[in-house]
Amino acid sequence: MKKQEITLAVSGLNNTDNPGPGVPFIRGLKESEEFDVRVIGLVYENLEPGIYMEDLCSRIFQVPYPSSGSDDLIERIEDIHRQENIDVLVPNFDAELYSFMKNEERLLKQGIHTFLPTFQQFQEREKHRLPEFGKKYGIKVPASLNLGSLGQITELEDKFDYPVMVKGQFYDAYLATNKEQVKQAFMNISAKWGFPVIAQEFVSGTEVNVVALGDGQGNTVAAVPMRKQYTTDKGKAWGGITLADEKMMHLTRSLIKQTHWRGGMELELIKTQTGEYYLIEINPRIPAWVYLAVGAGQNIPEALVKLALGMEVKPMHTYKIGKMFVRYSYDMIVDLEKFAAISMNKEI
Amino acid sequence: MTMEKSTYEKPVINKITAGVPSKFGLPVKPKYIAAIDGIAVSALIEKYGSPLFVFSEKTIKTTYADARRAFETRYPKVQFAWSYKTNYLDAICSVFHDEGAWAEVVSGFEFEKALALGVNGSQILFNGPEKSVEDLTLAINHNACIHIDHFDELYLLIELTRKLDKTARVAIRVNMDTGIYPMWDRFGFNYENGEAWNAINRIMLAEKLDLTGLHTHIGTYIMATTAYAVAAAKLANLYMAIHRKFNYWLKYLDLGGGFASKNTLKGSYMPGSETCPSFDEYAEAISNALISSEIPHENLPALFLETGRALIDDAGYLLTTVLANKRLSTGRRSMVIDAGVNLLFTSFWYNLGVYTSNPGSDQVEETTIYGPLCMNIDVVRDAINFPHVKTGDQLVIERVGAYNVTQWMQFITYRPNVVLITSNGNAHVIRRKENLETIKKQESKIEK
Amino acid sequence: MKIIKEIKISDNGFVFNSNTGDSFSLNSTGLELIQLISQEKEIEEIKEVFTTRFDLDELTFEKDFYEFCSLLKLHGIIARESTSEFN
Repeated sequence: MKKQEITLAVSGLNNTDNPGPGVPFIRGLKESEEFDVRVIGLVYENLEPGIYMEDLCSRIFQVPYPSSGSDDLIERIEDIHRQENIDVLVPNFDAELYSFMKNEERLLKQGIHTFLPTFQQFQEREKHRLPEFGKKYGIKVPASLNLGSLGQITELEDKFDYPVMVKGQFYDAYLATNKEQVKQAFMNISAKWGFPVIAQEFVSGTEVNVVALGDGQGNTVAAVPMRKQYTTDKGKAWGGITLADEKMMHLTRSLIKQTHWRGGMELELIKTQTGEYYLIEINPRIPAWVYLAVGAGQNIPEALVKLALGMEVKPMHTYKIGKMFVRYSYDMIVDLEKFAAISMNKEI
Repeated sequence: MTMEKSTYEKPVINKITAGVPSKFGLPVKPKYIAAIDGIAVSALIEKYGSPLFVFSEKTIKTTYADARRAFETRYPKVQFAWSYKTNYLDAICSVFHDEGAWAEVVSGFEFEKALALGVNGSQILFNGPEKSVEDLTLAINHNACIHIDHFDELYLLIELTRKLDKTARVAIRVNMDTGIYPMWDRFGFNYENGEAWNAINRIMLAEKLDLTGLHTHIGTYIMATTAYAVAAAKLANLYMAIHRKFNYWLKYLDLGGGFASKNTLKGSYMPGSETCPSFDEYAEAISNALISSEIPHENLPALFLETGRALIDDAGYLLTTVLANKRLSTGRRSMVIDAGVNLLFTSFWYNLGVYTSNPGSDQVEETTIYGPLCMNIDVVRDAINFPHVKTGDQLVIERVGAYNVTQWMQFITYRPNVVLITSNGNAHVIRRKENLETIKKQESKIEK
Repeated sequence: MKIIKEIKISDNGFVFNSNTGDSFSLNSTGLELIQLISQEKEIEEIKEVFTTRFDLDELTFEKDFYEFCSLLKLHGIIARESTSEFN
């Protein structure tokens, strides 16, 4: 069978020790039996490793950060589209999602397909709304309290025992074992990420994750559960193993069915000693360890591209259990010319 | 034969910072603002000096019309009250009053200003924690709506109305948990702990207090429209509880202000112009909450709104002139302009938009913009990708209509002219530049 | 004023300092100026070139020239003199 030729634009080529999912996403698609992909790499910075990897991208373009305004970002994409004719665009940074969700129709009109969550799906999973989310969809979540001032510490102490997790709306999390540490964490986080600061009951157990893909109609197209075997000091997985866990699969399918989740997602869960699951966070995109799912038999990147193109995708039910991934670092030798080209011309 | 000369661009060398993603990316072509409502920036500065505040009547009117349309198409009875503290220049208040807005004041001074502008006392909402005996007497005599902030004020009103033998029209300010942090529980009576209900009961017992409405103001720069839905629903609960207990319908529910403007708050990732909810979104949340509450349709109260910032921020510009370009000891580019934090109080919490007034250079460089004050805190923008400009070039700072001309300081120099460009395109000075006499006439020396 | 020998200037405005590993970008006038400086031309000569080619007055040239040179010095592209000498 002749493979269908497509042009794919992907961001998140920052395969560092805190990696974006761009490179594993592309790797998944390059193994597709159905597509012959031509990859356009979208980068924000001149040292994203994906720029320098051989045979990864046909073209590389630097794009402006979403913080400079969605219009500037979208206009740059349109400009690239005029040269390269993009069929499918897969944004891989949380910070980009807002701009691309907002401009989904505008891009589609020009033939650029995306497959993203809706605004409602995106917003209701936000960290400070987790308790309502849990209640609405019947999933256990750790008890939490949104803090607006240090005056609420008494309330916090009435509600939970130490230790507590203190988290920012977007990033950052500290484990606090006493009042002083809560204060410290509150100051650090509120200065960086604003209000509310979220105090979460500490649930002890094993951290487990699911990478999944929803078709927007309530069907789970793909889902693979994994346990991190080793994490870096940034909390990123350095090794992981696929699990046979019907409870996790059930939880994922039920969540996607109820929310009609559209696109990729990562569920972060804690499994307690007694076998209960608590939902800690939902990332509204594919995680960097997505290639484990490909290796275990579910090519999630390929399925996502098919959904974006409006093609039919049959739900995948099986995957190999006990497949592992082990991340490694590798020093590429590159010439200054490539660095100079991306720095000066903003494209290669 | 003379050769055609090429356009000159200042020679620049920038260090390439190697990096993985951080906040600043590919620079984009800078926008510029050459004219305001058809009048060239250069013409305005030539005639009225620099710095110069410029307001656009056209923008005020279209913004106000947009807000009215959003609410009036969704809710049967809507009344806006102009929030004086955001901008109490007579000419600005008059535009709002001419469009039908009442006045919302928070001090005796603002009350007097509204009266002097010809606002009928019964159309003044008197908010705030600071109301003296004199202020309250003035408000009672003018039949204003007094929004009570605390029990001491409530008892003072009971005492005063007895003494004056006059009835006061009152409402209470209610604070509540709407999911907004921090919660503004320093103003008004709390909903959740029953304090608001106690205050209502005490007012209903007082012979000379006429409870006409309920007021809340949940915070400032609120981006979450759902918080307004929660607030509206809680006020609706109180409204129905009052009816059930006293068989009495209040006249209005006042949802206050706090709608966000399109300015970008420091520390927020996306530009405010993109994330700021529209009037339609606020109106949808509030109207839905009231209409779907248990209030019978024929008894729906009037909806009062006191939005200030969202109505005026966009209509105000500050025109300023480049005084100097400087390199800091680290090589970082900086620039001194003739308007500083003395005129731009909002620069403490916004990343204000600063633009050139001509297309100029595409070459941008990260820059710190300093004001002219001889003070280290005088920073208008600490990091902005800005095109290269020359001394004397004129810049425009946008979205400065709210709070700046009320919170500005007379520090080491005179406050500048303020101009309003009317809907027909003519500029008028609406507040004259101060001079030595302005300052001196308030002072007196000790004669020896 | 002499550009140190470890500096490589490309025609597209990319500058690389092989001594420190730093790289820089120039705009078109910056490139032209650095090329003139690397030919060890004196300021008067460069001023002549620039004011003839561009719509530019002498004082603006002088101001921009010295600012550019101080950046070259700061970035270690031209040799720094000892800062404690005021001769």
